Amino acid sequence: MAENLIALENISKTYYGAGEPVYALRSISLNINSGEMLAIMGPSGSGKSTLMNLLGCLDKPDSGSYDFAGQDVMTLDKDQLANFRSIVIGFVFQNFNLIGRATALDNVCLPLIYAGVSSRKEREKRGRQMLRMVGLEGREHHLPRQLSGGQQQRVAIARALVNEPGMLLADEPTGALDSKTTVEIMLLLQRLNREQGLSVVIVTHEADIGLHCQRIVRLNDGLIVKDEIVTEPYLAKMQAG
Amino acid sequence: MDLFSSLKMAWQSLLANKMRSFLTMLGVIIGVGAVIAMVALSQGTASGITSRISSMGSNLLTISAGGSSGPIRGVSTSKLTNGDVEAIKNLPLVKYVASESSVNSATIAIGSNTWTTTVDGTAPELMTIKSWDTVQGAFFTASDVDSVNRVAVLGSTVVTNLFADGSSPLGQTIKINGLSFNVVGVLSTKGSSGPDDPDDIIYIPLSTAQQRLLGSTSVKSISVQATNEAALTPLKEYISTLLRQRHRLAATADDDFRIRDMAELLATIEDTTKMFTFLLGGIAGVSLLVGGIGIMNIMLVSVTERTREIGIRMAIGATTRAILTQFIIEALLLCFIGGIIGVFVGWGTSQLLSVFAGLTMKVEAWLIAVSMGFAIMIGLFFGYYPARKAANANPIDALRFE
Repeated sequence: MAENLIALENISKTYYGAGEPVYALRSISLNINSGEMLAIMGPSGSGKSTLMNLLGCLDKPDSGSYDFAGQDVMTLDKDQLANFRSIVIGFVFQNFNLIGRATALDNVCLPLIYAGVSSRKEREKRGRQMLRMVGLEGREHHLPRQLSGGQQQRVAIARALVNEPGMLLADEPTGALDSKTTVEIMLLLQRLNREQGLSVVIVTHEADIGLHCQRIVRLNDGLIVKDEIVTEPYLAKMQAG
Repeated sequence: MDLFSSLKMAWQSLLANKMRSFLTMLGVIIGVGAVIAMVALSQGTASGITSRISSMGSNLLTISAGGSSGPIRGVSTSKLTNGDVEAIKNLPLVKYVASESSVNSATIAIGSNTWTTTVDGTAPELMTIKSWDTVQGAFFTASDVDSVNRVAVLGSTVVTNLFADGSSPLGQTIKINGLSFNVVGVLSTKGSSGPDDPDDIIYIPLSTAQQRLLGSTSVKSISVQATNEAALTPLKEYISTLLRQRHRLAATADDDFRIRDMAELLATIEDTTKMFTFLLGGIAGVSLLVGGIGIMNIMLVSVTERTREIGIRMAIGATTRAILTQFIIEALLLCFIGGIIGVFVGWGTSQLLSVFAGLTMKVEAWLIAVSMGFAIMIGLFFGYYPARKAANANPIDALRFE
């Protein structure tokens, strides 16, 4: 039996704007096990972005209870959340979000600086390891604009994993990539999940991406409408040639 | 987050916008440069004046006719006389006494060359009191004064104008207001720092001036050198009492003479130049302040532009404090680099002014330290608000920012 990583119970989040209040999440409960590869899917406005922000500890729910690896997230303040997410969560975004004027290696090492690893040697050693792991050895000193989209996303994944977080949270990680590179990235994520036991949560609207995961949670109108196990997940394969 | 990483990050983001960083820095460069050049100018001028005055001797008292609250100065009816001078010579604590009486615009002629200058009748002690030197010949002697000899000692400006052909003035005969004088000495150049040229003067024995040129036994001023600096205060008292007695002043009457000591004069001048330093430094400081506002402006633009970057940094673990530090360091770095360049600009301007305009400039270490310190404080002050704005950004909104 896999260990429980995240336990969300009766989570609600409401946005009060100019007009009617927006009930983004209405009392949802969700458990995610350690080592799971899970997709969160739903149309726009379904609350999946809100759920992702909550899972990523970028925001706190209005009510409910949220337990992340034994830590009660509800009690953390803004800076404690920042410290917490830098240790337990790695983020990957649709448009990579690398710092443009920093090299691939500097981008990967950035979370280590914020996590307080003060030895530059140590940081660069771990940064290089991460880049090797995502297959970018030799590109350490390239700037993001000198890399292809797929390579940039690999740098972003390396950066997300450099602090050895328990969970990788990917927001439309292949949304800006062509089909070939999409396969490469999914292959990498599946490999990390399988070989290192990394929990991966992917927020996506692409059905195909969801089918690469072991479990799909579908949201609509702030509620979980379906929570299904994918019996035979697609295995991403490099196309021949 | 360690300092080296912060500095490296700040450096990278300044390099990303080189032109903008430079223009922002320009405000600080001009501000610091102006502060240094302005203060160096007033400091240089002040030190020039004070060193000249202290070279005259600090144990010096100068007595002049006319009280401080008497009739219009210069047309005072009161007079100092040879008798006063002799009486002062007999006071205790007195080392040297030299009185002066001058003709303000005498016509000097040698052959067809003429020159108008001041002719000062005095005693040989004046040379000792003011520690002057002669480059040719010697100052006239006490026996010249006793015998009312027609001898003259020339200042270097007079020599240049009357002996333009380079011939030696020694032993030559010049005419002062039509009277023949024999040149016995030439004084070394004292140099000028203002409109008054201290070398444009001729010295002759006081007796000769009084009897041949002025026809009066009054003296304009008396210079008294005390035995030491501590003697100045009691000596001033003695002289005052003596002169009041000799001039038969009633107990309630004001003095009809003025005694000034050099230390007092020095203090007055130092106060004035200090005020000038603050004034000029203050004006230049305003431009530094404007430079600081420029930095704040650009930092605010930069924070808005980089909202997304701030979001990314927060998502990967940057705390409020880390973001705050990063932007403050960027502002500080701008001011620090601008300040260093400004120091060189100010120093260079000072050099140029001293070489081409002949001004005395004094760039001291404390001046560089103060203006750098001020620049850094400006960076801290004007960098804080934009940095605060960046640090308070909400990571979700910041990430969504296009």
